[in-house]
Parts: sequence; C-alpha cells; structure tokens
Amino acid sequence: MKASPGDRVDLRAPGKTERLDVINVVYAPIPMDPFREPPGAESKPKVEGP
Amino acid sequence: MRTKRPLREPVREEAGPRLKNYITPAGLQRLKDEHRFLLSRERPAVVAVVSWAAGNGDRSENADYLYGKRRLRQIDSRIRFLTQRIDAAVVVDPAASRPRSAATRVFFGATVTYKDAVGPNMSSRSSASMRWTSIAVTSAGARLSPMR
Repeated sequence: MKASPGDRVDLRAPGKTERLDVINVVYAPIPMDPFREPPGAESKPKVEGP
Repeated sequence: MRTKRPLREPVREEAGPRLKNYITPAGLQRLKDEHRFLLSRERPAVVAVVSWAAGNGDRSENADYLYGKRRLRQIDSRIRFLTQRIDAAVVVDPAASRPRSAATRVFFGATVTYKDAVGPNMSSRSSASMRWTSIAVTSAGARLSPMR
C-alpha cells in the first residue's frame, strides 16, 4: 500500500469504489488464535455414547 | 498385431514466479502446528482406519475405505499447501522496530486507522469489507496506493 497518514486512497471493491483517508499508521502485534484440532478429527479420542 | 504405445511423459508445469509469503511469527507458528498435527497425528490415524477397512475385503462398497482414502487425499493436499506456504514464508514481526520513514507508511503488518464516508475505522493489513479487523495482504484493500 505504501500510503502514509494524510494520504487519500481509492479502494476499488467489487461493489463500489470507496475513497479512504489514512489517518494513522502504527505497527503493533496482531492478535491471532493458536491452531486448534478440528472437532471431527480422526485422531481425536472417540467419545462413547451413553 | 497391435503395437505397444509409448509411455507418456509426465507433463511438467512451468515454474511460476515464487511469491513471497509475508507472515507474522504467530501466523507461521500456526501453520507449523497444523502441519505437525496433520503429519504426525491425523494422517497416521486415517491410515490406520484405511488399512483396517482394506482388510475387511471388497473395497468397492466399503465406505470406511472409500471415505478414508478421500480424506487421505485431502490431508495430503493440505500438507502440500502448508509445506509450500512455510517454505515461502518471510517472517515479518509487526512489533519490531523499523526506521522512521518505514514506520509511518503502510506495509505488511501495519494497523491502519482510516476514515471513509461513514466515519473512522481501524484495520490491520487491510478486503472488500473495510469493517474487518484483519485483511489479507493480497486483497484489494492491501494493494491501495495513494491517489496522485
């Protein structure tokens, strides 16, 4: 993107084109969930029914 | 008398340009965890089911065998995808210090506050719906350049 604060950018999305004003740019850690085993995994121990 | 047809050579795909896969340390760790899970736990478990099902005889109407084989193909495909992404990964830590000129411009990992017709929003990495918190680096929003 290479824009900096004060720049005006054009976002050409499929629906419409939007004009955005960049107000502030910071670099901070981005929160991310850790990998979790999918619920239907074959390697998960099978729970026996009642 | 029929002549033997020559074996066909495998069709090799042209090597395309290798794109860099910019990724955060946490993102790379997540890919590695999934890769390790599929390779060391999920695949062996599915292989065990398939080999048990194969031992039961007639494979053509054996659902455990057929679905197990299909699941194996899906797992292998995902493992290949993850391997490529991990190999092409270029780790960029958004929290790392950078020169002042780069710290105020939008590159991968930036958290951007912007204003549109509705009002101020916040987005990191930037997609079509700008209300999203995170957007892909290859999305339309991430490829914006200042208007001249």
